[in-house]
Amino acid sequence: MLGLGILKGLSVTLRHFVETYVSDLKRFPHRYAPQGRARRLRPTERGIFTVQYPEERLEMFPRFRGALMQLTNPETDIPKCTGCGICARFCPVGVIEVVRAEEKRDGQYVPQSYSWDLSACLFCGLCVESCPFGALYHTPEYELSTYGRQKGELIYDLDRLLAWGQKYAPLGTPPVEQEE
Amino acid sequence: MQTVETRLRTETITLNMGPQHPSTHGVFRMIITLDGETIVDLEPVMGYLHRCQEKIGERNTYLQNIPYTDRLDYICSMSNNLAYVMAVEKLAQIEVPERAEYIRIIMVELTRIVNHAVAIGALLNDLGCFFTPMLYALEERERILDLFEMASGSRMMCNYMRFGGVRYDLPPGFMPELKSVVAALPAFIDEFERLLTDNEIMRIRCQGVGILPPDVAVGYSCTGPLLRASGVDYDIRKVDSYSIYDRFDFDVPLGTNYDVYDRYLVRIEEMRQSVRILEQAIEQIPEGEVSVKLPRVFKPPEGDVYHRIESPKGELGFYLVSDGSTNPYRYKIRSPTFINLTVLPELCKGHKVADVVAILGSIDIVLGEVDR
Repeated sequence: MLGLGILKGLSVTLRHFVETYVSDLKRFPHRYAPQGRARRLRPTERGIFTVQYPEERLEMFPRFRGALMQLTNPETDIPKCTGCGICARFCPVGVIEVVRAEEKRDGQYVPQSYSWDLSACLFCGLCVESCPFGALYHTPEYELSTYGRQKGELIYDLDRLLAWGQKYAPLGTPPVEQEE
Repeated sequence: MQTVETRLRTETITLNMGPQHPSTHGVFRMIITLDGETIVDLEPVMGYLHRCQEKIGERNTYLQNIPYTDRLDYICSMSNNLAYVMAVEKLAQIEVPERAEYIRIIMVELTRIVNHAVAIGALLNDLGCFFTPMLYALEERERILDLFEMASGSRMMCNYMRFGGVRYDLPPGFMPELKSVVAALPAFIDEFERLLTDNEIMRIRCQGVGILPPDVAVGYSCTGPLLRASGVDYDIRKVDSYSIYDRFDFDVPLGTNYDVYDRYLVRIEEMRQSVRILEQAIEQIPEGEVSVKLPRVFKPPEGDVYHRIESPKGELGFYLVSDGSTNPYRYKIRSPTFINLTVLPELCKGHKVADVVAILGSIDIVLGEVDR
């Protein structure tokens, strides 16, 4: 019969539509409760759901490649970065610029300046992968828009990267990174 | 150019479609010569998204090229990664650990499912079935992209493969999630088929449109689902098996009518076959190392190499010339969609303007790869 295929297709759409409401009713008072979020995201869960950004946010996976951070050595309180510039050499687009300081601090080389230009960054992670001192890591930070592109906005200097390091280092670096 | 016999004196008109057109899948322009509403000639104009990928590839070191391959065909970055790293491995003769091979196959086959789902969704979008099939496809894609993000750290620009393996081992919790996604995939494909395959409107729009005979398809060196829908049994996973594809049991679906509808059916069937490969790979995946240690400054020996894989869109090949330094001397990409697109004028002649978008959608192009 002509039109049977269309009706069959429409029944699929109808089922999707109904399933969402049925599932809504099942968890009636707390559909958007935080504890329900994990359940809503399961592949077996039927119906269509939306994460209510920005009220609720997905937790990033540990390997998520967000903005960069610089770690500080907790014992000596100086940056782990020695300004060797390997990250800058590995960067495919050259958004990292490092200058090593003339004299050592506590017997360790330190960077005089470090800048990361977010405007052209690919977020490929080769800088983190190449860092021989374990100083450079990704944060789970992803809301990085700014109103300008000059220094202090889209161009990050060492202090801002270290501040992020202070914020995220207590959470621990991803387990995979520690192995290497 | 007079094709219609009439007593009236008629003239052909030239219609410019694109580069900014919602149905051209990006910045792609077609100069269509029309006689009435019938197409007598079509000229594809490419290059609006040209980013000098090949020249940049010569500037970059071998390692730095991997993130750039993500950006060729941004729907299936994992297969682009695989083609490039396999070319370099062939050049430098690097052995890949067993587990890494399996991880690669899992990722690439997931990519194939993503690509075909999106291709069918986009085709239906072009046909006027706005967003319902597209969103069902994207919903499934989202789960697979979550797997990619879990493993590699990024949803689309995965940058996951490395020379001699992959970047990381699979995270804990990946395999259970993968199994549940793979178990849910056949139901998704069935539902997709129930939604579309018997739909009379889609059949009327697709059947008998854009017929590509096998000899023409071979003559234009088309590859991928486009070629197989033309009834040519040519899948590089079978005819020139690479990696560990010879260990898996899967079929190559072929078309019988060579039209847009057949290309849709071939894509659906390839998704089912990918699920079969995934199930076998999940069963067989061994424990062990996932990468080999390479020197920080990687210099392959002198020579040249061409390696091709069956990417979801067709034969994706990388030709590399090495002069023994850290950078490739020449870096050439044989992209499947660029070559598949050259057959477009042949397919469109004699059809109406509305069919052009259907035919273009069935070729499944991504302009990032066409223009490189």
